[in-house]
Amino acid sequence: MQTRFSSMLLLHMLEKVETFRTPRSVYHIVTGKRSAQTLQDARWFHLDHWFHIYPHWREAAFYTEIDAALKTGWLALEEEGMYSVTPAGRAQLQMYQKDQPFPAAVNGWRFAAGSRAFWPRLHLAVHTLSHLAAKETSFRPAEGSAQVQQYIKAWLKGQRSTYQELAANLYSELERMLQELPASSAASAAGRLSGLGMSGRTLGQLAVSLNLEEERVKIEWLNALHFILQTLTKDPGDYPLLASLAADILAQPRLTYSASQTYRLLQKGMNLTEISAHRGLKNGTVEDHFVEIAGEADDFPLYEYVSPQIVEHVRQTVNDLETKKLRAVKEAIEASGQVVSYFQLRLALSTGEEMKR
Amino acid sequence: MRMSLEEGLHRFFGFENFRPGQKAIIEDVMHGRDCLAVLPTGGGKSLLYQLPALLSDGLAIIVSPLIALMEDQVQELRAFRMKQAVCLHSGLSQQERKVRLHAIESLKLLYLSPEMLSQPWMQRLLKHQKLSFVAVDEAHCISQWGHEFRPDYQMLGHVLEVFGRPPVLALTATATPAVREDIYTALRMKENARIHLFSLDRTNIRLFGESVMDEKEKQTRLFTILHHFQRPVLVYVMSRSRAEALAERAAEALNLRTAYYHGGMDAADRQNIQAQFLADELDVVICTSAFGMGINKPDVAAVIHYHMPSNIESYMQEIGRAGRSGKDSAAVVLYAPGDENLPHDMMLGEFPPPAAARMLLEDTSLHGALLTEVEKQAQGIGLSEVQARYVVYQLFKAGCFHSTNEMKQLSRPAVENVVRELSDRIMKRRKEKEAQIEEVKAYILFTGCRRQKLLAHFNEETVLQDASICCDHCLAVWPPGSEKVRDREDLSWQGRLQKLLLPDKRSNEKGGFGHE
Ligand SMILES: Nc1ncnc2c1ncn2[C@@H]1O[C@H](COP(=O)(O)OP(=O)(O)OP(=O)(O)O)[C@@H](O)[C@H]1O
Ligand SMILES: [Mg+2]
Ligand SMILES: [Zn+2]
Repeated sequence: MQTRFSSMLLLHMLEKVETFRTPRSVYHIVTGKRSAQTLQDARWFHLDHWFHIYPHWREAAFYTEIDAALKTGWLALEEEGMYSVTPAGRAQLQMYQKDQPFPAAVNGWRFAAGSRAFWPRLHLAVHTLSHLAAKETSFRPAEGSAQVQQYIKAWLKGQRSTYQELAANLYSELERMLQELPASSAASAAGRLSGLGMSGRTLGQLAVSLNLEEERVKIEWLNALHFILQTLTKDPGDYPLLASLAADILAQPRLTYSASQTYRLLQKGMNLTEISAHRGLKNGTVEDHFVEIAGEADDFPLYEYVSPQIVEHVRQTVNDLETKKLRAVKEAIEASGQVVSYFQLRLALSTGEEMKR
Repeated sequence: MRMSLEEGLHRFFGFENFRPGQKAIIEDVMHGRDCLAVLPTGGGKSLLYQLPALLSDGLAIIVSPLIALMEDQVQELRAFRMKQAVCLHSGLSQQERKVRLHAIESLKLLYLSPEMLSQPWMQRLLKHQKLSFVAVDEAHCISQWGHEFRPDYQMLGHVLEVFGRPPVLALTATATPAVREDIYTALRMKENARIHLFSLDRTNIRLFGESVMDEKEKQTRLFTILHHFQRPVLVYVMSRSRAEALAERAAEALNLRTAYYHGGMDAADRQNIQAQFLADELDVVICTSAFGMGINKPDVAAVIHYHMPSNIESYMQEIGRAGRSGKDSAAVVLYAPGDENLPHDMMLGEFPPPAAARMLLEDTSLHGALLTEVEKQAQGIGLSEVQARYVVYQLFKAGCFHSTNEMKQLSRPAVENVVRELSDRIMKRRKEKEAQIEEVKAYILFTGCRRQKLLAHFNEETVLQDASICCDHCLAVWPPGSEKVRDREDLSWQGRLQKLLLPDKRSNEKGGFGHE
């Protein structure tokens, strides 16, 4: 039997959260729950890459997966509904990763939403140019959404080259881009594109021809999309056509709706109390927004709310204690004579990156 | 004045012309002649009784072997606003039967199973109706099942006498001369009965056979075909559990809408699957022989036998689901060494051990017991339902029951005699069925023209048609459209992108692409 990607990812994630979190928090991460707790967990445990990659996973199916891993002996039940990955589970995970390393470019935290917006555009752009370059002017658009259709129409209008040139340029950008990826990712992405005389292939069909499970094909496809978006943020100049398809998508920080409202006010120069008053929200809610924003936007005025010394101290403590339990960290810091609020703790940890050892 | 046949055809069914043979047969039926009509699958046999029934005074009885088939036909008629049709079968409650028969005087078509027709209450009811004629659809069942498992088929001739012998129309698509003989006798057809024989060849079904190493390879092959081929597709298997397992795996592996169908499912589930299939909601149905007979879906692209059928008649019948709209379609049978054991074991399991007859006949508590009680007791001593029915029916035929259907008490030598005869009979039937299985195997492994081989079984000679659409050995290719898909898939991702976005590349490569 093929080892399934989803069960391996589950092991990987449970290994990361150790016994600090129940599987439910892992479930919330992969389904992309936008609660402050989940967003924070994702960052703390370095699981942000897998954030929101299974938006449609049913809770029951998730727990079936857990049960299966328990039965196989990959997981062991610990106290209070926590699980630990057994040595057998670890070995299995290693074996799987050696054989098929987890796709490296998947970054749900940054691109889950962006790729959902980007794919229909890319698909329709390819589909349309495929027809137009061959002088086929009547065809049924590959993507049904009127919004995307309008977008591509406008996008085409804004271009100066001929359709053939555009198609050739898009080809060369895509070819260069996909070249950088493992073959399975490139094939999954190219396979799902369609155009003149060539329909898109289903995940199941790709799974058969790539000899992968369907789930894995989907992840490979996501990997390609996230990689493209990642590359476009770094070097938009190298891929002008693709970058123009993604420009507005990449510009937005990914926040919950409510947090983005708070962010707007924050950018206008309001502080926490002013924002709570202005929006008629509890302080705690706006604090949650702040934590979310701090993890997302580079211009968050972190040090207005927590001093650099404390940030440093918190990170140090987390490393020393090898724990991310808020209460333990707070107690340790307070034992050394400093005062720190939970809000400050969360802010200090929300930016995550530097925490990596 | 009565409507002309053409008017009726147009008015009730919306068809412009009769298909070959239809008009002559319908005229015979309208004139009250007994008829045996042998037309290919999809040839339009239903019309042969539906139209005369609608045009005649009185009620036409349609004897049909499967509940699903009856329900389907009645629903279709009703959909065309012909509300004077109902069906009755064992799956209905007493209440439902009453409702359906409520306006029997105004009915034109009554679909019944042979078992239902044998019920005394049904016979009493029908005796007082004016019957226009009795049609026996899928009449080969008389021969295939009538001998042992559905004895009521053998009783049909007798039942007809009860109704004052209305005209009989027997219909089938799979009748060898021997089967025709069986039908003839069982229905006690009149000497001047007409036989309408047409070629059974389904020219738009290309015939394929493939040998594989083992089960694993077979499954891979099946999935590959399902993956590349047009849909919908029917896949026949021998066992219920295999149908379920394969359906699950196919759904997982192929991202196709897949379902299974077998006799072990409850009636509602079976009806659902059939309805989904007819409504194009399924790509693949993995089924046992319980599915398909008479089912009329125009666009089935292929029928694949994952396990070989038990005889050529069933094969003919089952592949006849394909290509009914006239479009190119395919029939594929997959074979792995030893596959013949499956139908063989199943066949053996249908026969009871002859000693069971002795146990029943010597059971003093059964002397004077009714046939149905004996059958129950037969199951009590460990026979399966099928075996029990078989043994009791054989005892009945051997004269072990009084005319009141109560079991006789026989002397010891008489019992031994019955057991010996039963044992001989089972031996004989086993041999016959083994030979039928061998015939199927021979067809699969045959290296000449499959069409000729298949039709030879029905005593028919074929004129070689276009070799490219005949069979694998005549070098037929898969129906158009299916191979191209395969070409595309072998493209690398770079090749795919090129074809999508570089039109010049596309036209350059056209020469080597596809084949038609
Ligand atoms: N005269 C006709 N003109 C056009 N279509 C017809 C005509 N007669 C029958 N048909 C259509 O042909 C199709 C097949 O008919 P039918 O189901 O009666 O076949 P059949 O001979 O009973 O096949 P099977 O042996 O598989 O049961 C139906 O869709 C039917 O409506
Ligand atoms: Mg029929
Ligand atoms: Zn041939």
